[in-house]
Amino acid sequence: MRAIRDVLTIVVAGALVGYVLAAVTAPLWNAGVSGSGSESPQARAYMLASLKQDPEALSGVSASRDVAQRAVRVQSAMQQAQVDPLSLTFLGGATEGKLQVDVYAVEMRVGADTVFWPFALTLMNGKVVLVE
Amino acid sequence: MNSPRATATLFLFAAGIIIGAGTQWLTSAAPAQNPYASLPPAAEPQSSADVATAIRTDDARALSRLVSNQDLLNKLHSSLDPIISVSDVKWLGAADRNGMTLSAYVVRGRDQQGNKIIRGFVLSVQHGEVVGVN
Repeated sequence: MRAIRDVLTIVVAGALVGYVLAAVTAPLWNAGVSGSGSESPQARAYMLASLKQDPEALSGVSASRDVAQRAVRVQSAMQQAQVDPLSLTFLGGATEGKLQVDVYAVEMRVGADTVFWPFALTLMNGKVVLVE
Repeated sequence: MNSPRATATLFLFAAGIIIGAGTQWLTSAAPAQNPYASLPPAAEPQSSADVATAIRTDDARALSRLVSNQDLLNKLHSSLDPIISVSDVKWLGAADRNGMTLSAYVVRGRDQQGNKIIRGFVLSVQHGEVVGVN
């Protein structure tokens, strides 16, 4: 009985070390594989919510979620009713500590015109803190 | 601790590490599927590469020659702020649509307090010339 407990303790201790090591080093080996960094799920979620004009989903991945800011997002979504996204391209990303930068190119039809715009998202702790 | 017992302990610990790393890899969230089209990657335009080199080498004279429009320089300043000491500028990728290329970069450096900062910016290139920043 004690032998089984010892074996389980050692394996669980190793699993915890392995989990933490994998999580900490993930950005490093992701960058090495893709050459331009890995895309964070939160940045993709922000871009999709933005293109779908979904203010609630935007609030879920944004750092600031006060009522006034959410009202601004709802208003912006209503004013962007004519926007029709054509393409969403991830250009690349990079990480430095808690900060992550993900850059996208978006092609969309606005009224009669087609525009091609860049979006550089800065994330801190998985939340979008800056959109340029 | 005798040798076979130490070997077994190390083996179990290593097996645990593999299990833990595998679990992390399997449970880490992947980005949601992109429902829109994605443009093919484009080559880095020479003009944006020159601007990146000027920023990397802290060459204000070259930067003023490469980006003659003062509004663009001000936008570039905003994109780099609060970095005052650049340690690296890395090209991330580019996409091209109807002759307009968006070339993305990431800048690493330190702010006035010495904190490590990362910033991203995009140069719009048309007819071999930088015509826009973000």
